[in-house]
Amino acid sequence: MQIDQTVAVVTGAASGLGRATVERLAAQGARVAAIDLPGAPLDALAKAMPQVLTLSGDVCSEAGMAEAFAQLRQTLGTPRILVNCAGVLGPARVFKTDKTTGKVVPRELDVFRRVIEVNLVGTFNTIRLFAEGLSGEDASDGEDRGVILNTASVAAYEALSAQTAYGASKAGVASMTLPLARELARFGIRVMAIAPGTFETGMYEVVPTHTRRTLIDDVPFPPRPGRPEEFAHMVQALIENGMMNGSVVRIDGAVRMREPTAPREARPQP
Amino acid sequence: MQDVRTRIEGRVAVVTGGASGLGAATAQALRAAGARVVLIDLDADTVEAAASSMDAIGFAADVADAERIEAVFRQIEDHVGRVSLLVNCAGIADPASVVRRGVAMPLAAFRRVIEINLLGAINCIRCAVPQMIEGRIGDGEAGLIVNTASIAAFDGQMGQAAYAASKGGVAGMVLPLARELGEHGIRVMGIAPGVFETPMTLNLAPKSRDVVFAAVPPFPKRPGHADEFAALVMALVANPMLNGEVIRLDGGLRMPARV
Repeated sequence: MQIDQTVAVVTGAASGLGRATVERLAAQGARVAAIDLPGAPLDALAKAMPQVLTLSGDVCSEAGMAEAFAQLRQTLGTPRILVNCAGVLGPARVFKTDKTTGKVVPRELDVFRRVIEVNLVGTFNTIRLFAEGLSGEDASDGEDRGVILNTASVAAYEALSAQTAYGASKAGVASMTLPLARELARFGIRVMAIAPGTFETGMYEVVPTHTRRTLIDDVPFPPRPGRPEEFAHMVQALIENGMMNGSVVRIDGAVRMREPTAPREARPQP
Repeated sequence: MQDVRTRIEGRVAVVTGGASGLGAATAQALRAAGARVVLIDLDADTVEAAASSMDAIGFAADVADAERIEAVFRQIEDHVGRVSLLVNCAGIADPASVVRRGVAMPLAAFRRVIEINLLGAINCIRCAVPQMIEGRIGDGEAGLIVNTASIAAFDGQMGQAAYAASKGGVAGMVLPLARELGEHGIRVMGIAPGVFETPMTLNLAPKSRDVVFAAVPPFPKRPGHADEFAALVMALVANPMLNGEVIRLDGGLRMPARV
């Protein structure tokens, strides 16, 4: 699909992978709408890129996204490119130690629910609205009418300790790629997911230094975190290549995530 | 290697969705091996009937209800004993189109599938794990968690966006859980069944049911039986080296886009 003059919508647009995607698509001539939570990062984007339509809203909100998409259609027209980047890490072990009794107790369910809501339910929320807008299309000529790109993660395949909810949410995103591609084919919508490894974003900044070192040490090549503009480059490549559909592409420098170094006592003795 | 009876006899095993289908068959197999079996299922009458038929204990609860499941696990610990085995079988299919006659699927329909299949599993896991940790003897095995994913996690069909997402999530959390809980002696496994004859598939709307059962595996050329799922659960119980992995149980089936 051609990017120039096409309406594109990006979620999680105010920072990290989303922000880099907005910049790249705008540079290629797309008419971009940027969705993110209200706040300083979105204001900064609006100021830096006045040609971009900024829309504040929570991707988990059915009413909020319906409103954002209505405003987007009215202002720019029907979007044909959707890039879902909104996501949270929300690390949490499944149990915790009660400070008063010293007993191990379950972690609150809502801690996990929030990660699943933002990363998985929020991603589907924009997909259904985007697809609705293109549901009148007839793709019998074999040309694509729309592209959906979701952000999964290598954690979909090899999440670490305390990433139960994150790993589950990203695996959910990866797993719905194929059924969505199969189902939306009749409207000429392609669906892909990108699974980034460790990238230099705000999400990565909060990873403990020790874990971060292991993550970087394990990247065969290039031996560094990915740059958001490299993610955006992949976004463009997937939009432009009409044969890419229904699969998940890793962009990770060949990393396979492992737990930070095993304790000495766990290693076999000669 | 110990046999499965030695490993499970007298232990407390919780099976969600235990009143029917894959859950009921698993519960029966565990009961036959001498486990003390607790069933959790939505409907009070059904779970009570299933429990009494196999000399198990039944609790009626919604697996996605945080407070209710916490209360159920407290009762299990107080009245039956600490949980050693958790088998998550509770789940719904609810196929639906993303856009139907020009109108988007209500978000609530997607969320409901995620809540029951994915958050329901996380909910029971977080409640079972502290009991497994507290009950650990020395550096032995403290417990086993088995999640029911689906081959829809890998090759979901049209109308399965929500189901595939939820089961992909269930499959995706097996490894991080195994990594996190390894130091506490807890193993975590997933089973991804293909097409099985259970109330979930048999009670689908006729059109959806026809689509599901039209997918025939290379061999054996028939749907799976619930006791074959139960047999794999028992194999996971028996073999302590199995950990952090999702096993397909599908007769070699790969689901087509549609049939």
